[in-house]
Amino acid sequence: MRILGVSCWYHDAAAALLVDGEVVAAAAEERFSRRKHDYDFPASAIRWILEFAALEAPELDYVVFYEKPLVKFERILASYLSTVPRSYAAYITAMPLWLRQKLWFERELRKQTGYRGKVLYCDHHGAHAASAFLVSPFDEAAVLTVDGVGEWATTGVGRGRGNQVTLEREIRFPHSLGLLYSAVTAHLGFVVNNDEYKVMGLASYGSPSYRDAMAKLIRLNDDGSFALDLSYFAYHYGLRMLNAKGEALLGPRRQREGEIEQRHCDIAASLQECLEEAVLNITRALRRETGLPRLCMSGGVALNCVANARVLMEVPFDDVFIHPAAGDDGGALGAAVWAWNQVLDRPERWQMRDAYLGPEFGDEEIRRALQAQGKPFEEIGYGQVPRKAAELVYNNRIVGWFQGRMEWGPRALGSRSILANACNPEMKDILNAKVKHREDFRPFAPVMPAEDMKTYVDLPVESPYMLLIGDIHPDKRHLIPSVTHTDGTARPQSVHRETNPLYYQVLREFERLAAVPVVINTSFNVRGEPIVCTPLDAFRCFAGTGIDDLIIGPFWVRKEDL
Amino acid sequence: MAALISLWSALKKVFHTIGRVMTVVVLTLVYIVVFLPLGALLRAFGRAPLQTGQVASSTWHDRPVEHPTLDDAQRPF
Repeated sequence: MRILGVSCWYHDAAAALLVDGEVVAAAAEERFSRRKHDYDFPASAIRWILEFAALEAPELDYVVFYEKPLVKFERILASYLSTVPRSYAAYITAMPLWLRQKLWFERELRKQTGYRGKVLYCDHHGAHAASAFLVSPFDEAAVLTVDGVGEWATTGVGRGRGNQVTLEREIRFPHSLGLLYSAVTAHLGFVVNNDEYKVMGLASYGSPSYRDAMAKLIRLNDDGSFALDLSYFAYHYGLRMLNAKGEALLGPRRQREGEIEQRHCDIAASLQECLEEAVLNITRALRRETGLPRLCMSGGVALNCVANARVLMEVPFDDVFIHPAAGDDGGALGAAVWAWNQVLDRPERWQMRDAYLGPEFGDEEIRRALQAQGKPFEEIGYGQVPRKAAELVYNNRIVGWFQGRMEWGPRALGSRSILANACNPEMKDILNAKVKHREDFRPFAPVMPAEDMKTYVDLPVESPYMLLIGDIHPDKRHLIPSVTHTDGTARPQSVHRETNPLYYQVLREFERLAAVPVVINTSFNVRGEPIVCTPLDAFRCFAGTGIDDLIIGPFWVRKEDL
Repeated sequence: MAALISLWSALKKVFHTIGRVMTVVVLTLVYIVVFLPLGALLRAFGRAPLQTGQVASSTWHDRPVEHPTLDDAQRPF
């Protein structure tokens, strides 16, 4: 049985394919269209998935959309009705798109793919919940979904058991942790649905001196729920996130790309603290009410690794599973497993063991792509690839690393990564100057073998998807200065030999040279672009930036040879 | 032929612009005729579907526990 899950038309469009209950392929549209957070119908992702599985669209048994569009439309109409006449600007902007496109998923699907079979609709938070629990390693767990908004829900809590996951309660729009975070993100001059992680990084440079202001924006209730004071917000009726009263509370809005002042860091720190307290409040109540010792999380807010780590450390859950594509892209996979386990009631659950679900390119394909560039390259063979990469990194060269299947989710996890020397204290600045061109306040993350993680980082569980932060042990910080954030933390990736042998071997080879098995892992892209997908994308990024070497499949390309 | 193609492209741009303007005009009329009075009435009678004022001490809403059938799942609502 073949089930295709699809998410689109908000942000991070994606598709995922289940064949007989196994997730065989999943990818976000942005990787193909090269438009970051592309929200359009994921025609290219679906085309690749069908090609990968050697299927034609009519051979699919079901296609599942990650939302119920009419319920979402009802919420939007209700918002406009409730806030007339202030809602006119939002109404006149959104309505044409809804009437022309968003209400007609089935029509678009059939037009774009030629699929003629049944179309199913999963509700948005149901898809998140499925993506969190049904692919987790747990037989039973508490479930939390938190994001901006789906149809009506912005937060959902419940439990999963066996092949069923149920959200028992929800908090509804306009009360939303995700929209609160986005509203302040916009106020700080960053892009909504794109730059929230920058605010999280910025928070480490500030102190929560706007705590009182945040307390006016949100009230936490004893039962874990929360309520926003909507007199400060405009997102439920307008095109802006905060209204004049909200902006007055936080001070003047920062212009995009404007100077970052200490005040902005303090606002970010206050917001981050506020979010963490809200998430802790929900999860404590959830732990108390369910009595379950394990937690599964999904939704865009679950990408906030600082909040996730606090949940893990401060709420008595033994273990936490967070879907690597916790945002709307993960909804595509969630919708597909929901159909398989919940609707069709199939008992077999697919367990996510790694996030390598995207496109892969054979050696000959890579060779042809490199030959087409007309530049010299060397075939060093997979046997030499880890040692060569480690030597280059050890010698402070920046390495573009392109191997195997592309990652599912927003993080580079060793398939489309840039690797660099974590031991060099200058490397953060070098990487920023030569390749990433990103804000100085943003840290780089380390990758290390799973069995060595506790030696370097204070985290009680593994971190395969880079969705947790932990304190670098004080006696280790001097060893890996370029991945130690200003507050002494890092967002590590732990790697097992079984899940990514080549990548793991790089770490062991680097350890042989540097006596430390830790390397910088950052996404293989430049600022503002999606992570590379194809060999051609990788070569272009390599050639157009200060990356020194490209190790792609069994081949090695040196910048000096270009 | 090239002249006809150019003419057709120009006409498409004109029609597209007219379409966009008409969309705004029609939707504005709908807003004035339907949304404004209905919204005002709902608010006047305290029945606005979106609660934006003072909220209760808990904002949890129970979700019906569902075991969706294939027929249920085919509904976009």
